[in-house]
Amino acid sequence: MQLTIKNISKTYPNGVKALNNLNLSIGSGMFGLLGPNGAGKSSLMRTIATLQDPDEGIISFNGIDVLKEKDAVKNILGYLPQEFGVYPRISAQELLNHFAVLKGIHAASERKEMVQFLLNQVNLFKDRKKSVHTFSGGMKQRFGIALALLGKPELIIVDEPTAGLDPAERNRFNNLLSEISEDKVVILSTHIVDDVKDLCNDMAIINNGEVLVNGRPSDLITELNGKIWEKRISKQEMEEYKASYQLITSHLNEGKPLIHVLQEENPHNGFEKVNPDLEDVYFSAIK
Amino acid sequence: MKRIIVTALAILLSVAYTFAQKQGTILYENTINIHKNLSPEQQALKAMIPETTTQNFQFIFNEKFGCFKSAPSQKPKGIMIQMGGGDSKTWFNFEKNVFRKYIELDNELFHSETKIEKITDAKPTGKTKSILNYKCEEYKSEDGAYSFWVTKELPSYISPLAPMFLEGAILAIENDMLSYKAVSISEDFDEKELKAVQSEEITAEQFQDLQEEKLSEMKAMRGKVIKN
Repeated sequence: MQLTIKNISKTYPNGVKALNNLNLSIGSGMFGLLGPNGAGKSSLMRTIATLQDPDEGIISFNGIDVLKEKDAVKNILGYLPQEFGVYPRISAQELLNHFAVLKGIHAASERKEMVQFLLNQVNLFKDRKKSVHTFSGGMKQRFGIALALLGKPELIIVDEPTAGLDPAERNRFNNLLSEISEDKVVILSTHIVDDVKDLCNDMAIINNGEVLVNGRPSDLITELNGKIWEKRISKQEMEEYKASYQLITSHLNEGKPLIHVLQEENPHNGFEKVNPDLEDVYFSAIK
Repeated sequence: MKRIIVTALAILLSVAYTFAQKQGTILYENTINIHKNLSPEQQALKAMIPETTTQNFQFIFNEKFGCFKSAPSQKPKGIMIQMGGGDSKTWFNFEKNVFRKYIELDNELFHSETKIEKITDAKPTGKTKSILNYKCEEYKSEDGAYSFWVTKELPSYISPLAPMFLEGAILAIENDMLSYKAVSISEDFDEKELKAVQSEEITAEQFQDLQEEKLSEMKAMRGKVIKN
């Protein structure tokens, strides 16, 4: 399975260039699309999902011209958008059945079996008679995954799925994503680095509509080996360090800033070499 | 002179033929735009759901009776959306100038009778086109949302969307969300389809209550329902 994105560009009527000659090749498994808010992630997701047309470029998936054969894409696509409307007073089971009908699953027995299977898979079977609009954020997102899995899609897009979830819900949701990614192309769009670190075997970092970095997370981390230096500093020193070093991250640790700088050579001055992580990759790419 | 007579005869025969069709079956193709029926919050679901679905219906008629129902052995292209509270048919009694809509609830069949009355808020636009070789005039609903293509060469009680009747047979209805178009017409008809089904008569208000009950039941059990 292969999703190929070639030279995709999109400028909105207000002049914002959301996608700028973007190229990606995505194979089976979970692909992380990482970028800050406004980087162009959702524009790219919506373009792959055929919800908007690019100004130029080509997207193909297993021989399907995604931009031209939109009906064919609907048969193989599962999409969990940032928001999806639900009807009040309709239970999860009824709503899933409703969308199964809309998706074109005609046979009642097949539909019933699929709805039950999916509710079990996303661990909502015991809550199947509750109305979706009463669900917690995590439950809604798991319901959204069940929705995206209707019709056995081969290409699944999940757009910022863990935003607003508490740690336990996020963990549960990520486990579910991990389960469904076998034998499928799953694109996880997020600005949460840990989600990509935990789940993805391939990734890209985009900003201003361009791909900045693309590869396996472990390879990208390895590329920074020996180049990340750490130091605890005082808050008053922050501006001075920002001016003097290529500072990529800053976290408060025991109330004091713990900074990471990117540098080929040892900066000395009390810095210690540390093993890089994906957050270093992310911030070194977008800075 | 001979040429004039032949031409006149031909015109007379043609007129006689078209007005003679007081029985037959019209097959309508009904297309529903599912995307246009999604709420603003559901727009992203367009990515996974086909834009339209198509089903066939037939209007069977003779001089006395008529029946509008889904066409047998027709598989919908896309998805099946049931209208008006189920797959029940509409039966017409032209002699009494009424039509019946049926509804089944808990294995009991009910019907309500309504007078066939022409709607007055749709006005002719002056545009014409040919559908199945019938000259049709366009009527627009008051709000401009619906176009009806109406021929006076067929009986005026023919409508795929009762109680919408106009000054002639409606062979097409065009709207953003749904459309009907006559795709074939023949003189054949199945007489047994024109017999009224045994059912209990209820008032229009009772029918509406039952329909709402049925609609919510169907919404829960079968999915999207669009009321006509």
